[in-house]
Amino acid sequence: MAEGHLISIGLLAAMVVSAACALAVKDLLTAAALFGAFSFLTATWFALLGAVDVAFTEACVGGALTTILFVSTAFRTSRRFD
Amino acid sequence: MGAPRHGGTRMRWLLGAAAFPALFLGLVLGMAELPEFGDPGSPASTHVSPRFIEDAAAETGAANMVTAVLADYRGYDTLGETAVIFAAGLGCLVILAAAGGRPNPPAPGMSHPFGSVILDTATRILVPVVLLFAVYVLIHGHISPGGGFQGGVLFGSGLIMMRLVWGPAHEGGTHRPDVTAFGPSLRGSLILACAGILGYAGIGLAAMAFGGEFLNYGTLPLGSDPAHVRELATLGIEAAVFLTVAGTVGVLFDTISIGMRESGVPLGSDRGPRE
Repeated sequence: MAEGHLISIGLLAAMVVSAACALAVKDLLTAAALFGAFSFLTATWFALLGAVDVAFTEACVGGALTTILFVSTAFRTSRRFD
Repeated sequence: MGAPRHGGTRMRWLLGAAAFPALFLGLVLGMAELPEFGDPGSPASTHVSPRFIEDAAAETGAANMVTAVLADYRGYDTLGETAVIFAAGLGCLVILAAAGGRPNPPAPGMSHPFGSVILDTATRILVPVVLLFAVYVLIHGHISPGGGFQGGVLFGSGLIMMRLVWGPAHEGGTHRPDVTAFGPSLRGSLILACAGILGYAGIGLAAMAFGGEFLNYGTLPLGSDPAHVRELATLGIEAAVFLTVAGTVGVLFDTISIGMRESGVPLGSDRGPRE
């Protein structure tokens, strides 16, 4: 149980860091990639909690689909957010 | 997250700086009141869950309880969710197509296919696997994690992947002259999504026509074993969700790649800090 807690805390800390970085960076493409990383961390955490179906959905939608949509949107914009 | 520049911005910073700890503290205090993770004595574990855990497999023929709940017991909720996804796709289509002019005929999409041997080869190997895995996830949703939603997203992503790398549908000869069209057009995606949501409602109405309640599949004339009938109907529901989600994913990607291209206004230009 202690190990599970440690992994959880590590994942949650990494989620906070990636979310904060996604807000802070000026390059939209980097932000999209960081958001994808956030989604994969979320999915891992869901899987750790035993919610495999939700984890699967999060990995598909958050990790893959929205990242693709963000990236394709970033390609249509000036790419930088100043 | 830049430095505060104007009076209004500073005011907002201060408000945010005050609201953030307050919200954080409230959430943490609220969390303390929640039952322990996995607590067998919590209300969620003592009321409906035992019923689902004990009877779902026998009643619905779905070993994966999540599928049994989503597509059978709570089929009405899932119909609503599917409609929300469909509406999101429609909203995107209306707004971005209005910004970009004509939604039809299917648009050129990404104007510069990424020309790279690595991407090209990886896509050629990956896309068939992704598409096949999507169908596997759909069909296997009864037994293992997965189902129509995840399968539909995977299928749509596979189609998008081809368009991202090789260029869009209906634009033969951009990068891979031997492959002319990748996946359905915008119109085709929309038809898929409509077929999915109508199919879902249709299965519900069919159950009514055979004397049951809306989306209560037990009465459908698909066999003598009620659990097997429910299993088949659930697969039909999952397939309908799959179509809706895959179609909506295609609509979203196509409208994003058309709308901004034809509008001529780079969306980034009005994105600066608001006064």
